[in-house]
Amino acid sequence: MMNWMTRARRGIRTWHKKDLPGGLWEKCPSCGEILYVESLEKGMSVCPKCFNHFRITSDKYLQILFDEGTFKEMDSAIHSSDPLNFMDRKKYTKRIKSARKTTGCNSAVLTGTAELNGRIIAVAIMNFSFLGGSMGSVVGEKIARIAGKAVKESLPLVVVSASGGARMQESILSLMQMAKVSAAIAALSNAGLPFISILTNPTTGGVAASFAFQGDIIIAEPKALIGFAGPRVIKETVGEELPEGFQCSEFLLEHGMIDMICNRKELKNTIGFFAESFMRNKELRYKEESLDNGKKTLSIIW
Amino acid sequence: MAIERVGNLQFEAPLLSIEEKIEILKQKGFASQSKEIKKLDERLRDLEEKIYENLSPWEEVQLARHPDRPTLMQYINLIFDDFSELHGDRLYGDDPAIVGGIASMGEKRLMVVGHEKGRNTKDRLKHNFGMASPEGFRKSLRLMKVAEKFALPVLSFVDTPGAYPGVGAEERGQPGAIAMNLKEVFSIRTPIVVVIIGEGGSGGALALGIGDKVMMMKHSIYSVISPEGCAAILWKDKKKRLKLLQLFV
Repeated sequence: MMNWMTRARRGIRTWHKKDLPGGLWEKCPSCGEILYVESLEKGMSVCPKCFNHFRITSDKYLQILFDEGTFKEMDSAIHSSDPLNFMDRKKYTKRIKSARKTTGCNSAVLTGTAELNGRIIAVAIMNFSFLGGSMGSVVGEKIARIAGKAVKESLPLVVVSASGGARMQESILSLMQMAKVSAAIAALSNAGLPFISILTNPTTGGVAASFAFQGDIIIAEPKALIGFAGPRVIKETVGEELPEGFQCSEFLLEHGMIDMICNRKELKNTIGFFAESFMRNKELRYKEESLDNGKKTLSIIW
Repeated sequence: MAIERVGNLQFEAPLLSIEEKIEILKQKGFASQSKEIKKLDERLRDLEEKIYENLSPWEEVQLARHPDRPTLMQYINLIFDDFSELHGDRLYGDDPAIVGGIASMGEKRLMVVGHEKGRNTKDRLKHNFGMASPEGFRKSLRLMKVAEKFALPVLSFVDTPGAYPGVGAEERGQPGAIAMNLKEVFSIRTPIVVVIIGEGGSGGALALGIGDKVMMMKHSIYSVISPEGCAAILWKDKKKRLKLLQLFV
């Protein structure tokens, strides 16, 4: 009897239904829903079905968080050199070159000032698509400089983090960025200025262990991966199965590590509320002080 | 906001029967300005005054713990235009027994912290009946320091039977957490206003109870320990609470 269960002819290919023409549609990695790219972008790249927050570039965050056309970029030209002449599977210089080409940015962070509901804010937004948002000398320098600008001009600082951690290819120079940025954040804190840290998917390693967790207020996007060692590293080192939801935003909130989880759609107003709350009374105090012949009394604010 | 009645106390029974009568009359079609209802209203007010002005110590305690008493979240919703809750002690956990965050009242912004007891059984379990763990006290101190840094006044609401007496709370340093709050609060330079809205029980209450102005709502209590706790220590029987309270009559 002919075996009708096996294919008689080779070469018949199964049509993958979910193979889609590039650029028009995107599949939600969380729930599998097929989404029309244009409407997805209109909805701030949040899946309308499962509210999965897609990873977005720094330019998109600028659009979402700040008033249109108010962004003034700083230090846009500085880019990494290769001080250690580093080569893994590829030369570091080649990696930088291709990252600059594909992203159209010179580094993994965008810094400058922008207005949020009319208030000027110093801002740094990391770009995960540039070498995994890793922090080398350039990223560290740019964030330290924007924090310095915030101190000089009495501005609140907002940093949107998206990073795997310190950049391997610059070794100890990358590690030292953690200390340098922390010094700049300490100066900001001593000046009594607010630092609002936004954690997006993912924020790990040297970035999490430095400025990302130094915020006066720490806000995470839903279901973002946040931690020190990544789940793969932990699994390989300790050889243990990790519990479900380990290192996601909700896990961190429950463990008291972050102030709140905020949907991307409410992020602008939330940051605006905190920036306003933290700056208002301080500004009132300075106004009163200049009227009062430099007398320093705290009570006059209220 | 409609406040739903969930529990009543014995000495409130006469008030309830009049309230019921008014309700029946209203259902029968009597206008709220009619003679009959006005008369009942008057009687209700007289009786209220008589009952609530002559409460025994135990009845005062019961009233301070009244299940229909508004809790922190209701005060927040009624007083402020906007409230953004902040979580966590940045060390171990987020204690739902203490709620804190930034509130706006017109043009003014301030930091609010306080005990939340919860409204219904499920809610109360979630908030651990307002009994805070070390992480709750550490959260409230952290938020007060944020308030100081940004020149925000602090409004603190106290409503707790006491700090949570549990194994985990002891392991994580309950007495140390309360002690640090007491010490550090004295260095906070922004004004702190404290209101005891229900029960002010022991160290768990004092940890949030130090301020430039301390107020108590009518029929609230504030003491070194709950009557049950005191009876358990002095008489070795927590049911002797009534005997203890009779000492104060």
